[in-house]
Amino acid sequence: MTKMGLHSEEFLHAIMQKQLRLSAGIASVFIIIIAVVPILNLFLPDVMNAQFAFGLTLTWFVLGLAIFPVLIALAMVYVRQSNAFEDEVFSMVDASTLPSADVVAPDAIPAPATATGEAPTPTSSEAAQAAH
Amino acid sequence: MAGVDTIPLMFVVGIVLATIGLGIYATRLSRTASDFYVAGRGVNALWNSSAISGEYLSAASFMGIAGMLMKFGYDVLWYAVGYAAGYVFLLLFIAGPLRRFGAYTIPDFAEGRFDSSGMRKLAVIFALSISFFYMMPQMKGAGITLAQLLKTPYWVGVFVVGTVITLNVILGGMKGITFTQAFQYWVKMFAISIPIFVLMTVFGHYGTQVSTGGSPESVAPPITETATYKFPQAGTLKMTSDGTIVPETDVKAKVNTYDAEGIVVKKEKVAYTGGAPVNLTKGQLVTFATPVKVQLNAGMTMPNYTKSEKWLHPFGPFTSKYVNPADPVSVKWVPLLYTYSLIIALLCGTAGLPHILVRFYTNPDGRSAKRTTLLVIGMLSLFYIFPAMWGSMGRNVIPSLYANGGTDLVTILLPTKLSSPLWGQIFSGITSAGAFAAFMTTFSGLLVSASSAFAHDIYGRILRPEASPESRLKAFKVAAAGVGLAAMSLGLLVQNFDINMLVGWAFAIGASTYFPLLLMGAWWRRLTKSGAVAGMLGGGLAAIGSVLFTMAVDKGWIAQPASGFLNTLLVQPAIWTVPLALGLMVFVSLATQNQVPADIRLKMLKLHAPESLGLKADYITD
Repeated sequence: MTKMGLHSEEFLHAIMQKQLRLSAGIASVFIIIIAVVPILNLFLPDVMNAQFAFGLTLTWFVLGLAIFPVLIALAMVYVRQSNAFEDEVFSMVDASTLPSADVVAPDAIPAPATATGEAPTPTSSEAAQAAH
Repeated sequence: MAGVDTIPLMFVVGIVLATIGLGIYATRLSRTASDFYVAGRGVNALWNSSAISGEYLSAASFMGIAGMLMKFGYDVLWYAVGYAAGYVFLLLFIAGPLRRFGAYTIPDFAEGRFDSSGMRKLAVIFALSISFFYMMPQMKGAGITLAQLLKTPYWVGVFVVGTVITLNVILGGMKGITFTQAFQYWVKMFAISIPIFVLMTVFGHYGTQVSTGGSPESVAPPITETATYKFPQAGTLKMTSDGTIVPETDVKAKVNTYDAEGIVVKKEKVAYTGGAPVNLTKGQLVTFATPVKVQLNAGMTMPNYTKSEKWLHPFGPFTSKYVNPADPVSVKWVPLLYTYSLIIALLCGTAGLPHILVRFYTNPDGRSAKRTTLLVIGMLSLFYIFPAMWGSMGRNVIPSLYANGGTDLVTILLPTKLSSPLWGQIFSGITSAGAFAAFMTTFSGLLVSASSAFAHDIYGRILRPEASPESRLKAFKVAAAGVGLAAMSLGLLVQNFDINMLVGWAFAIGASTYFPLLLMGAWWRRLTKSGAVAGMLGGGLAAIGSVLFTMAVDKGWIAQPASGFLNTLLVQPAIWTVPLALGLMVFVSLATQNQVPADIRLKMLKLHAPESLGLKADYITD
């Protein structure tokens, strides 16, 4: 695979498209699940209002209980895939175009985060204040 | 229910003292300005997600959903689902990019994304208006709950909660409230869950409550003993049988009479004399012009009780309020329209609340912002299962709340129906503490977000960009005192307004302004400043206009439109105001492509490239 420059148009296009595709895919599953409930309520009232479980009707069971684990599951799938993609990004980009720790990018006001993805070290003014 | 309830009072005092104590404790840990604003960014995901959930679960969630569900039934389940599901949108499209961009507030994002200080000003105005509209119902919740529990006047609750939280924010800042908010999520979770499990062992489980409350045999319970109920201003009484009422004082009222199909056949304005019995017939709806105590005589059935199948089934009284019963098209489609518009408002509105968005900055990076959001979705999902259990049990166990529209107090009063008065008071105390935790956390989150709009955006960026961190901190404290006082004064004014109307207002404005700005700003690089301004102003003004119109109708200043569709679109405007805002953004942006910032590629890269690539630049450098 050819590596892309960090500031290249193709790199930006690649990461945005990939992330948008992931988000939009999960969003459409999520929107369909939510949007279909009122439609079914309107057109299949006998099914939706039938006793289902624990004394709840099917539609009450879906909206009052079952939908919550579904939300959590969709969110978990998204976070897992999105993080996997973030790891992959590192191998897509040409390392020589990355800002290194000792060269401050012109647009970056404080020091950039370390390459390990840890929390940024305190900037000098922050450190100075903490010392007060 | 005579006199002050000592045990609930002790619980409420306990939660207030714990809040103050945690605020003071946290102050010692909060030293720098960035600690103060954003908890030093070093807050871990579990802690931060508890804090976000704690801040989000307001009076509307803790008391409002259960009360509305008791009153209206199935349709209100959408509130619980929508409040939780809004975070899925936030997670998919907004949390990661917003955190990576390094913007502390939405105004920061607005300015940074468009290189325009004008955008910051516009965003600040919307941040403040959403915050103030959302603070008012919290104040009202505090006022009425304290009035119920401690028999204090309304203003005492507003003043006590307002003062405690304002001082807490001034002393502890964001770090102080992060501790408090996180702690109070668990207080609320405990208070909404444990007592209902105990109650279910006594009164029957969730399914039993729902099927009993919705069974065809479920009819309005008879009033066996004559009793007096306090009706607020504009309080309504819908007769479920023929019967006699006795207003204690002179009062003016409107009386609507309906036929069997629910069509109004007579509207009259009447003046009742204090002490004189009034005979009413089944189906009549009385609206009192001023607050009044009314005696409901034995022999009639509980007023305002919803018919069983309408309560249990979708498209019940809540979504079909504006249906024209004579028109089959209206009967079929208006409730569906209402449902979809409500869903859109809740899903998009969550992503447009400034006090929630600000919290994403407390994550160290986009990855932890996503992890935090995932945890929040889990925590909120767990919480939102419970309000419906309270509401459905309240319908069967404490139907007297229907009489004067007091169903909002169901979480507070239901435990008092336990046969042991001591345990009843203890569990009522636990839920009262949970309710107080709800007002206090949401109010403090809004107070921090409004105060930092003044200190960080207006003072620090617009008025005195050269201000030192110390003077900004001072500005924050002054702003917090001012905003706190303003919120208390506004809270005093809204005693007679409906909590849900005010919450709905905040959600509608958020959904039609911030949500489109963030969604399009993060994902569409051709969005221009003019496009964003047009969309936010168009969507925001349309939403505000609709709600103002609804209020004017409610007050009787304007005649209600005849069409059920039109009414629904004005009461729940999100279904057209959100697409309007998005559409304006697209059209105006396409016409003003020369305004796209020259470094848009770098901005987009910052929004979407993982932090590991080393592009991050935070806005707060002090």
